[in-house]
Amino acid sequence: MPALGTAELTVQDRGILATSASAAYLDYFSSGERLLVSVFQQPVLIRRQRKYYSRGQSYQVEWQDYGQPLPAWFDPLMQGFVDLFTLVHNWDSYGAGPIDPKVVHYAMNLINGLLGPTSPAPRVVPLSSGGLQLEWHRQGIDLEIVFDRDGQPFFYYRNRVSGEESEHTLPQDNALLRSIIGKLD
Amino acid sequence: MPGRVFEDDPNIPADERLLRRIPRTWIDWDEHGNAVISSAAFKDEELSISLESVMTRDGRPPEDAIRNYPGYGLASITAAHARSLKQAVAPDPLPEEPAHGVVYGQKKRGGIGGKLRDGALWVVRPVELELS
Repeated sequence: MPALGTAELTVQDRGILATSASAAYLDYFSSGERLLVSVFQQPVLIRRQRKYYSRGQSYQVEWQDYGQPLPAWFDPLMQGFVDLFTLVHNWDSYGAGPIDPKVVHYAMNLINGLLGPTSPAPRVVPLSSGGLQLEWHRQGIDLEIVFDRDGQPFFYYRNRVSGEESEHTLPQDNALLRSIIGKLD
Repeated sequence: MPGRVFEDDPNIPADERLLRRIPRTWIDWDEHGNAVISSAAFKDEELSISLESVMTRDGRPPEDAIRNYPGYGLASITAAHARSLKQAVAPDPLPEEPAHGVVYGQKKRGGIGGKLRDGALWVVRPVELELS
């Protein structure tokens, strides 16, 4: 894994844990950066937290990291996930139930490993089936990652200019997805 | 009621407007302040809609579909557009909504939900509000 040239969060080694009541976000330096830090300068993990508000409820997100600046996508992404937890029954007016916390948890972990420090934040959108999708519509590209209660997650890509479109299964095609997200910066 | 299968009803004309309520959570606002609908709004295999012709028959304007849903937008697609994406369009009247119908078919793969969305027009645009 290449070391990053800044003190931004690295993404590949990060893990996120979440429940319907709270979320914990765990961050590590990449192995490349670790090599540059002497044993006497080992950074210390610190516990951090941030509160998000949604539909009159507050959710606290907790994580551990080394105090690096958070990437710009962190707050909008976490707010999007928290907003899923506060949807009421029949939120779509057609009888939709709550979004499955296990699906949210899985999506948080997967996207956390794919976003770079300067990635644009995806929009977090609920599905009536209890799943969710993450969306970007930028640079003439439509990109949607779909996490449903049944079935494997996948992403759909469409270039609005060329008309090219394709669909790929995750996590098998994580590398391709990471590359496409990289073009959205 | 998932699990049912619907056949296309040829009595529903190609230009029939199929009305779909759009909650705020499916709306994004672009840099020009336009309300953009997520493809998520059109991904149910059994997609509930209201048939405008039935509402008209009953003396109801399209806006009546969101009468009890403040803050919702109301979008429409045509039956022809749905059929062009291999969807069946069928009536499915409910006691509480005689105009209820269904756009039936697989929508989650192949970008079908997004393509249905691309043919949608606002009947009632929602008003942008901050989520509280």
